Order: sequence, then C-alpha cells, then structure tokens
Amino acid sequence: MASTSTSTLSRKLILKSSDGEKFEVDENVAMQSQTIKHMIEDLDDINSPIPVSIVTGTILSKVIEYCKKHATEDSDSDEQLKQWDKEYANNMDLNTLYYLLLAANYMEIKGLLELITQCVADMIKGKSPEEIRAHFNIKNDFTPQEEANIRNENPWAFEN
Amino acid sequence: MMNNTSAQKSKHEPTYATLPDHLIQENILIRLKVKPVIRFKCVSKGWFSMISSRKFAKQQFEFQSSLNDQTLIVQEPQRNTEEDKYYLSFDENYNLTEFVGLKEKCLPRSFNPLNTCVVDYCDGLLLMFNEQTMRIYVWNPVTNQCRDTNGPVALDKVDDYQMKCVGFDYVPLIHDYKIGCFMLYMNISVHALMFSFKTGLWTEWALLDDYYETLEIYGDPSVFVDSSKVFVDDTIYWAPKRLSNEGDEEEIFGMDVIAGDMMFVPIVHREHWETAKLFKMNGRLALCLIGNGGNKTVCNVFLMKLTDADDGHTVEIASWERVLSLTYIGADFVYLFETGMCLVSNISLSLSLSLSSQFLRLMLHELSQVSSQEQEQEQPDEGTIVWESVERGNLCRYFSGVALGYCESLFSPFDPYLLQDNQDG
Repeated sequence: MASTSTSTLSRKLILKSSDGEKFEVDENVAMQSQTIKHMIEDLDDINSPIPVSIVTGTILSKVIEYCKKHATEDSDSDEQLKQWDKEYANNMDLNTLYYLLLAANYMEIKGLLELITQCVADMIKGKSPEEIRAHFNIKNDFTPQEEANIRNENPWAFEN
Repeated sequence: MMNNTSAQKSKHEPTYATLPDHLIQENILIRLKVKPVIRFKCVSKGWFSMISSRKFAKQQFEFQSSLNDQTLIVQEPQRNTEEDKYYLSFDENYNLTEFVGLKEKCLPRSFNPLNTCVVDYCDGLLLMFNEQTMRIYVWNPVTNQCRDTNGPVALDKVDDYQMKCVGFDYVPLIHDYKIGCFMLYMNISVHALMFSFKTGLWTEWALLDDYYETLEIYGDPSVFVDSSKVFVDDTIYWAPKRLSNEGDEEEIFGMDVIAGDMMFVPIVHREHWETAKLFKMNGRLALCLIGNGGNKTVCNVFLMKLTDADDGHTVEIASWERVLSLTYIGADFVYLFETGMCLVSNISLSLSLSLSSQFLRLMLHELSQVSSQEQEQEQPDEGTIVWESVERGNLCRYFSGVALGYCESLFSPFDPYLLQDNQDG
C-alpha cells in the first residue's frame, strides 16, 4: 500500500481536465498536488485517468508546467527558480492568473498558490478602492457618507 | 504590463473568474501591508467587515511579522514641544518607501503626544511614556487604540520616583504581554515593577537596594529612555547609553519577566568604545559596541551565549562572541537589521552650494563576517545612500536617539479575552 509513493520515478499518471483533455505526467510531477496525492492513495488502478474536475485543459497545462519545473529540484539554484517563477507568473493575463489561483487552491499546490497570491497582492497593493472594485468586480454598497467616514479615519492610507 | 492587460480586458471581457472571499482574505490580503489594507476597507461592506475582523488582523500580523522587519521609528533624544517621532519604512531591497512624522499618520486621542515618547515596541504596539506624569500607555497608532496602564506610580507620588528603564514584550510561554521597569525611589532605593496585560495590574516584586549604585550610574535620567533595550528569551536587557569612562566594568542588565530574576552581564572591554546598543539577531542578544578612531568609526557586533555553570547551579554564565564588524564614516549608528545590514547617519558639509549648508545622509552598510585571524578592516566601508537632505541639517537629531524596529499591525490584543487563545496549549 505504501508502495505507490516509493516506486520508481518513471511511473506515469494520466490527468484528465474538466473539458476532457488528457495529460500524461510523471508521478513525482503530479504528486506536488496534495489533492492528487490523496486521490492516488485511494486508487486501485493508477492507469485510469485521474479527473481534475474543476480545471480546464488550458489551465491544467500551465499547472503541469509549474509542477514539472519544481519536480526537478537539482538542476536549478534557488535564485534561478525564483526568476523562473517570476517570469512564469508575469506571462499570465489576469483571467488566467485567477483560474490558476483557483486550480492551485483546489489541487493544493502550496508553492503555486503562494506564487500566484503574492503576484495578485503585488498587483493590487498600489490601487485605489475604486480600482479594486473594478478589478474584482465588486459593487460598492456604501453610501457616500459611510465611505467618507471610513476615509476620514485614516486619511494617510489614502495618500500616495 | 499587467495593468494594461486588465484595463483592456475590462472593456471587452468584463467577467473574470470570481475569487471566493476566503481566498482573497486568507491568501491575498494578508500579504499586503497595513496601509493598502486600511485603504481597502472602503471597497465594500463585505471587505470592511473582513478587514476589521480580529481573525484577519491576527493573520495579517502573523504573516507580516514573519518577514524581515524593515520599518523603524526614530525619535529625537532631547524632546521638545514639536513632533519628534518619525516613521521609516524600507522595501525588501532596502529602498526607502516611507519617511513621515508619526503625527501625519495618527493623532492619539488618549494622551498628549507632545510630552510622550516611544520607549519600546512589540507586535505593532508602541509603549509610550509621558515624562511629566510618569504614565505608561500602550498604543497602536494604526487603529489608534490605546491602553492606559494607570501607572506605574500614582500621580501624587510622581515626584518621589525617577524612571530608569522601561521595556515591553510578549511572553509566549504565559501568553501575556509584560511591561517591566526600574525606578529609583527618593534616591534611596530601586524598585522593579511589572505590568501584565492579562491582570491589568502593576506589581512590584523586588526591592533591589543592592543594585542602587549600579543603576544610579546609568546616565542622565532625562535621557534614560534612550538606553538601548531588547527582549530575548523571556528577559528584557538594557544597555547603558554611554560608557562612563571611569574604568568601571560596564554591565548590561536584564530582568526575567517570568521568574522575576535580575541578571547582570559584564561587557567585554576589548577595545575603546563609546556607545553600546542592543539588537536581536537570530533569536540571540546582539551587542553593538561603537567607538571612534580618528575620522572613522568602528562597530563590532557580539552575540551573547549563555552556558550553564559547571557547579550544577541554575546560574548561567554569559559570554560574548564577536561575529560582525564594520568600519565606516558617520555620525550615529542608527539600526542593525537582522540581515546584517545597518543604517548609519552621516553629516557632511556641502561644497557645491554657496551657503555652507549641511548634508544629512542616511547610509546603508553591510557588516562583514568576522573570522578569528582576520585583520581589522582598514578602509571605511562606503555604503549606499538611502536618504539625503539639505534641510538645515537639523533632522539629524532624529537619528541620534534609539531607533526601534516596528511592524505596523491592525492587531491590538488589549482585550484580556484575546490572550486566552491557546492558553492550554
């Protein structure tokens, strides 16, 4: 039963996205997802495709790209890996980034979740409340007076 | 780049993937500093209550305090009636991001800021001391919440006491915040008092007459608050501000806030030094001894090591290990970061201007590791300028006091109920 996690590196798994796309990946790549790790433990036949139900093929391919890079620890220094992460995240448009965040959360890939959330945090840290509403598609449900009261409590936070 | 993308997208493709609130709160907003978080309170009612919640304040604080502290409070040692407390913030590459008076951020409602100085800091809370009324307050400048300790001495007894040292920190073992102070009474005895957040009371646990002479030499009482202090392993340590120059053995003294023990640690007189400052590095007490040699200044950093005495008694013996060193040109050593970088203020005359105005610079240096055989560094380190001013040069006074590492936080654990968390753990 414990043999699944200790077997050879060359073992392959098939991941199936929500829109039916299939990806063949090395086990150690897929195992970076805690969710998949737990699924494999309960699985009798690892040759059947593992459904990643809420993640589309486009997003899943990006998730796998990240996991592949981080599965081969020996080849890159920490510095190089950080640089790779940065470029990886910077090449995403906002919508992809959000879907990737949801996927990382669902698949429980800690490193990817941290990378994306930090990236989103860096994007929004300099924004005004108005820009945040547009960014996250949030409706302002304060009356003008209520909003003014909040602003007056800490005026320094609204200066640049 | 990202902004462009989002701006274009919002015109053509208004619907994004919607992120659930818990993801935004627990994974994204906690990564932001206090300033944007407060700004985002007025995004919507949902965000307001999310950010105002105690749970969020604690999560955000825990995340931020796990990062390297790169925010400081500096204040003038000789206080006058003007605003004298400044807030400095650096990003992860030590670029100065904010340098503002504390009053620009927040005006305290519960005490008069003009006679009150910052004496210590812990977890986003500032320990404030009013020199006239000898009253101690704990204040969170971000939320403007304040706790009046109603002490350490009653108002009508203020004239009988002289404050010598104050320190403040969180003691994980007992889940409590403790304020400790030493006072001289009528110039005849020493009193050690401690305040607990949980009980809300000041208690006196020791009369320390034996130490009267030791404490008495700790400099001019009017500048006592500038004595450098740090909290390590449940003990608050204080250093004398200046060497007495009388050949006496100088000591750092500490107060164990759990056991109530006093501790005296001799300072090694390896070489000539004039100023001692205490910081914390890798969880250990770090002592900076700073001395002038000609036109350059030398700073050596020692880490304290405690070892149990051989005779099996519980008394520990302290020894010092020199780990870092720096030769620089500058006026005042301001702050040692845990990363081994430090800030030094430097005044130089400006030659290019017709008026003989002074330049004030804040320099960043990297201290070098000390190996046992290594020669002393001959050439002063040049450092990099992080801030520069030609404004009459009088701002330099802010850098000659004690700089306190500080991390802004929305978390104000004044409610005793908050301290009950994990108490059984």
